[in-house]
Amino acid sequence: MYYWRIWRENRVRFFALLTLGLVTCWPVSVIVSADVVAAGYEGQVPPAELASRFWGHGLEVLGIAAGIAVYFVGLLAGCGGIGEEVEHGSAAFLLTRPRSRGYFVWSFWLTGSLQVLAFTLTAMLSSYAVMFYDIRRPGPWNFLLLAPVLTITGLLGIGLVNLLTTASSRTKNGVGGGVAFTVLYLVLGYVTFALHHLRRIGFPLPTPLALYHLNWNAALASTMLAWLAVSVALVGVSHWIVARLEV
Amino acid sequence: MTATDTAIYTEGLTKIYGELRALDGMTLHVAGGSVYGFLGRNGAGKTTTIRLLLGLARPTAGSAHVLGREIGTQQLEILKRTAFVPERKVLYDHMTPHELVHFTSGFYPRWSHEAMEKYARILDIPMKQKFGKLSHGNRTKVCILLALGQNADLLILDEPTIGLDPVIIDTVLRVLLEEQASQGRTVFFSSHQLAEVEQIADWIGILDQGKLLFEARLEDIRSQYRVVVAGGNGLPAATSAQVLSVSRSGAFTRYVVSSGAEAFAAGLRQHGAASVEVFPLNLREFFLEIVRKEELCTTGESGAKTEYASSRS
Repeated sequence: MYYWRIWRENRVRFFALLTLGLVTCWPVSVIVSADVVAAGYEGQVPPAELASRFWGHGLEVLGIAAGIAVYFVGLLAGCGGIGEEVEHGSAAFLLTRPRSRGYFVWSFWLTGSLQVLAFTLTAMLSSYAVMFYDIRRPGPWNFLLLAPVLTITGLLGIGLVNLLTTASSRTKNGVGGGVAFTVLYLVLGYVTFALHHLRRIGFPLPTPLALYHLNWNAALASTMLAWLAVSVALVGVSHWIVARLEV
Repeated sequence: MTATDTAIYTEGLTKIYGELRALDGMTLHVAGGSVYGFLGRNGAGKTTTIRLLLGLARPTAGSAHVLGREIGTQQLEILKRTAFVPERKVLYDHMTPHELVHFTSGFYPRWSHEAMEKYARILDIPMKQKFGKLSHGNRTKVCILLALGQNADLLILDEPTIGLDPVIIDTVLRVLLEEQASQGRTVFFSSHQLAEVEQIADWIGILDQGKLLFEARLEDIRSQYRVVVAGGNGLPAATSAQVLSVSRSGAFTRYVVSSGAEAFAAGLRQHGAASVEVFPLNLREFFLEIVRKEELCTTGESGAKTEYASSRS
């Protein structure tokens, strides 16, 4: 029943996001595939050399564009749950239903994750359709790598906003804090990356942007697992807070 | 009475918020199948008690059992068999009562749609209007409906009739008494409406400043408890265990006694009381006697006896 309620509350947003997913990657896909065709690589996997001639590796650009979109989908999907119930005043009602508090936390996370997944698949399929139509062989395996990468990005958004919403019991704080934290973190990531490049510091602040290199190897696999663990840990902290919550 | 044959049993239950002792070592027994009126002034600790029983807050010290299960460790077992109407009747504004019933019923295998439909009719609830558009009274009725539909063994109701009109209050009380308590269910409810409590409760507990001051059958209060008003100087301030409270004003002293009022009055006469009168107590009077901290009466001629007589009228 809790799933029913979340679905009921999110269905309009969900379909709006699906539509957004359909259109988000199309322009990027069209640009990328046009670049590939123009460079004489039609029917081939887009080569890394294109990165220097245009504005990055085709898939990487596509992935980051989709990643930003899916991250904000995650931010929206994570905004709610028990923190919102406390804010609204309905937590006393919900938390006296015969379900554990963990059930409510993880059920909310699961429905948010499904939204992210649905958005990801829609965005990918639409992009793939455009690229396949244009260049016939858009490199399916690298392309498929986008699915887990985008999903993990969305899960990070859900976990962060849900944690901030739960901790503050305010949805505005959750979304606002989530966006502010993300911007700050990425700026710090860029600064530390630059400092690392100048050999001023040992290693840069890790950011999920590392996922978007999309070259399948052990390093990417471990990076994916690490960020997946971070996204789940954020929900775990929310669970910990909710378990101790007094309303 | 043990934890197993009581619906609610607490021992030394304490809840401290910073400097505030919201509950201070409260020991409470609610017999299974009883209708228990939980009384107290604002901030006495009634809602805190209910929140602890339902797992919405954790006790600082002490223990509590609900339906034989320990709070905290066996909370889900408690919640499966307990219906709750919160003090703040806040649900989901965008849902209709019909949808709220659909949502709530999914949590309870014992949910009775027949009972729910019957109570919705009795309480005259607009089932297809958004909750956010309902009047305060109708919101309260929806909360009560959701509790009644659960077929719970225990109903915990925090100010269940607040905001209702007298007709609906009467209906709600009748439903609680005739259709819930009569089926062996326990009803534990807090209220400021002493007349309502008196109408349906068979037990009462009076809480003040986090302490349970008093717990007894309502029938015992009616049949045994008396207020004795005596005039004269040098009367004893407190004499025996039967004296629950003593208040002085001017030349009059008031005693609330739990039994043997006539014998107690005779004893006062022997102490030199000029005039002694014994009055029965209704719940409102009894409650005021127990919890008031300031004397109602102030000076000389308009002493305790006069004030008491006027308060009864």
